Amino acid sequence: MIAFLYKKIKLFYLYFKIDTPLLLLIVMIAALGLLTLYSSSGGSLGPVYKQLTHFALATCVMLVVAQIPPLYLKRSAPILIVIGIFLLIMVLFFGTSGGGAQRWLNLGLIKFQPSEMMKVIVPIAIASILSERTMPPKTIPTLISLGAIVSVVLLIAKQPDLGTSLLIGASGVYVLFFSGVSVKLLKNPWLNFGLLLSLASGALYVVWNFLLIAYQKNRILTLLDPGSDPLGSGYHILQSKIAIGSGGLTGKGLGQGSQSQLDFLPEDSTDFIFSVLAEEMGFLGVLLLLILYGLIIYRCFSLSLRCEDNFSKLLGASLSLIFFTYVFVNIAMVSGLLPVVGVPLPLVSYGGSSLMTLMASFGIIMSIHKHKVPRYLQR
Amino acid sequence: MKQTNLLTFWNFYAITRYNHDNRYMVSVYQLSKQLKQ
Repeated sequence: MIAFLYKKIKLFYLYFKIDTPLLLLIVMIAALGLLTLYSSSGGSLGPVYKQLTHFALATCVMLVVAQIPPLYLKRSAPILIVIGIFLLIMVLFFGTSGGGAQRWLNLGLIKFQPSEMMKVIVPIAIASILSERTMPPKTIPTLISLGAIVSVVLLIAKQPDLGTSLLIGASGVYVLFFSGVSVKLLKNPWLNFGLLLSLASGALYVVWNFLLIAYQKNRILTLLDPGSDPLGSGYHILQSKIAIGSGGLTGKGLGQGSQSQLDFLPEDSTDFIFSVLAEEMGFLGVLLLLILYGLIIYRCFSLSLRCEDNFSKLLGASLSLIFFTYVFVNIAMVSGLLPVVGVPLPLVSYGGSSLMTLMASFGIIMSIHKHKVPRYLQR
Repeated sequence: MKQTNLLTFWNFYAITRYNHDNRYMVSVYQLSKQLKQ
């Protein structure tokens, strides 16, 4: 009987596409996140149960996505990006506003954020365009991909949601980077460097003077000197730095952090949850979190690089790198190294929609690892 | 909660150097008063 069950489970495991180490690492980070959430919500279990529900749903999404062969993703990429851009245009006209920005589409039963979806669609689309032809890509595919990235970025920046739009732009540019696009425009390396530098500074000038809105400029100025307005724009970052610094080596203990429990720290269960963790669990807690993140990123990269076709490699590597970027941007933001953009800490912050896209991208990484692409389709 | 108004001088800045939140300075000030009693 036991042998029969064992055989059945083994057979199920063989056909059910899932990567156990990655899943275990995700569960471990989620547990650490739920513990922090329990503390930051003042010891009430309500948000913890809600977040557990989010996790259960997102895990279902991940398991479903992991069963989809990457070939289907590659073939449906043009449709996906067209639908995505259409939804983004719909948001500009019919979106519902919240907190000064128009980001949500109201579908009656549910409200959802198309820009959240684009976090996965853009890498799929760019990887699909670039993997069709030789590597490194020639000028035309590169220009097509750049055009797609820029149009999506501008549509999202118009909402306005500069942080998300830049991260989505980055996810597209990562695919270009992994495909081996060269930035060598001129033969002479020094002239090339000079040209790139002048292009970058020109772009910076245009962005600062013509594209950024007053509040966005204000955030960057706050970053350079948070003490200039300690009760206004610099408040978040100053309180967060105090929380992180006062944690020390082992922290103040769960539920004992004065910054988080006495509500000095704003947004302590979403964007600034890292500061709560740093204050209450100290350097050791942060180290544990960073090691777990490092292991997840390592696992994702090693799974992606073991693939045999270009599409899977490009997609997996860029999804892994964008996960690293989310972690880096959030932690740099709460510790005062980057301006405050609304990026939650992956797998730890409270919230459902970002969790869904994140788990979907893990599902894609599991799928590209477990599905074999037919040899005649490999390039 | 009883509303209190405080008039402070430059010396008060010493408390706010660690955390520049009004609630923080008032609680430190009140704690110091109670310790003194």
